[in-house]
Amino acid sequence: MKKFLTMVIASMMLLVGAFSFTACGKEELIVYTESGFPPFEYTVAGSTEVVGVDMEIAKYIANKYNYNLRIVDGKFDTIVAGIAEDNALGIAGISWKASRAEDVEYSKFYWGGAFQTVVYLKASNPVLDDGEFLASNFNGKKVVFQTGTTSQLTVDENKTAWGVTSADFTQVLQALNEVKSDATKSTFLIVDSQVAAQLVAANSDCAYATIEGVEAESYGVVAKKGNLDLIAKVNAALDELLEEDETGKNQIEKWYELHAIAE
Amino acid sequence: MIHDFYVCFIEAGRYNMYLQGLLNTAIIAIGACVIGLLIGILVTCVRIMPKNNIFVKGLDWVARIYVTIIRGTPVVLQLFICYFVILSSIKFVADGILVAAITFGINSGAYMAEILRGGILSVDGGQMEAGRSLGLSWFATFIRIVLPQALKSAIPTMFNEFITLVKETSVAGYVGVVELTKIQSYVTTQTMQIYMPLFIIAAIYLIIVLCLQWVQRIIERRLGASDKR
Repeated sequence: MKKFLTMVIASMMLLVGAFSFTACGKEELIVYTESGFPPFEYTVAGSTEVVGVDMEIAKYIANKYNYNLRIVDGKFDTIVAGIAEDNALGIAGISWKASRAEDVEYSKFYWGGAFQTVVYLKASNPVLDDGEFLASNFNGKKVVFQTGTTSQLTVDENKTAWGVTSADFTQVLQALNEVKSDATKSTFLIVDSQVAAQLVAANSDCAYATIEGVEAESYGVVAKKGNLDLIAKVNAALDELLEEDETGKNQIEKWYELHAIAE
Repeated sequence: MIHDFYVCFIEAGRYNMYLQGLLNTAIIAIGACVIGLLIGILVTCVRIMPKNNIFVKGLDWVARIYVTIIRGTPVVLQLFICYFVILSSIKFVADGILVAAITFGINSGAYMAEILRGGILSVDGGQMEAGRSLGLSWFATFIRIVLPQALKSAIPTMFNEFITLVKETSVAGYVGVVELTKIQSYVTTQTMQIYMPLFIIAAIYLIIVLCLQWVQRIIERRLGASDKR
């Protein structure tokens, strides 16, 4: 019995040892993301491979510095936990927030055009001022959003001022469904402008608008707090990508066109 | 309805995505099952061994703590802790499937240990006494007399655990494993359909469980062939 136990324990140790030694050759780079956010990271029909602007950036960094790229399509909320290692990045359209910047290291921004918008049922007839959704429309109504995203931060910051009740969902489509199934037409979805455009394109009974008092956001790549080596590499890669060619376009812009919202 | 099914399952070869998810779910479940059984048997041996020296007492103590911790915490948290903390270096050499299989295996091991221990305790103490008085060692009596009877009575609960295990793997998507449940989010974002992918995936899980139940029935019938009834 003792011999048997010793054998088992020894073989387990060997197994663990084997894992720690196989990590040779090319260095690994893990990139955390959450698909379902076109054109930054999404899957194309019939495939589970994540593509998009962010994934192109990831591939570019991996190629430039000879990393073996591993993309982990997990949950947005767990990206911070994932980047605790040295060779790990979060590239998921992560917008800059002062509260986030305290915990993670941001690269330079590669996208500055996203902002929080509200998606509403056209039938709800909100008051718009020059296309902007007035905050007074929210009074006494309900807002829904996807957990862990900037939308949540936006709602948390503003919900007292807006005078709303709020509810969160794990997926943006569930939240949209809540808006559409509300018979009293008093539920609004808070979501990034990029996603809002997609949703409205697919749901003709909805519209979206910018919100009074909500400012634009900028996206950066994130790494562990203090992981300046890796962030320096990312910045160098982004510099190359953002450099304009003879037509006045940078390489990232080309991807926005490449991944332009189809369907 | 039929059109929704067509869009979510057949169009653009989406059934391949479900198959890919099913394959990964199966790999995790089978891997976890094997690891769980091994750990379960090992822990059970330790728990029921006669505690006649300090080494065995120490092992028994470790086994108790293991079972308590694993049964006392949710499997999603165990997965996060394993993936992001304990086994975090493995993900640089293999993908999340391995971490998931190990985590669910460790989780299942605790339940399996208790199931096996229950089975063994259900065997009358006189069986062990009889074997020992006939000159067999404790170990030989255990393996040849007690264990076969114990396994037979533990089979229904063991399958219960296998079935639970298959369904538990559905949380592996949280750490980026493309398993069956994760496919739902891909299909939903590609088709803007919420309900149909859920129903399709529920049906696939149901079919897996029905297969497991069928295997259980066959095994029980074979083991029950010698029963006097």
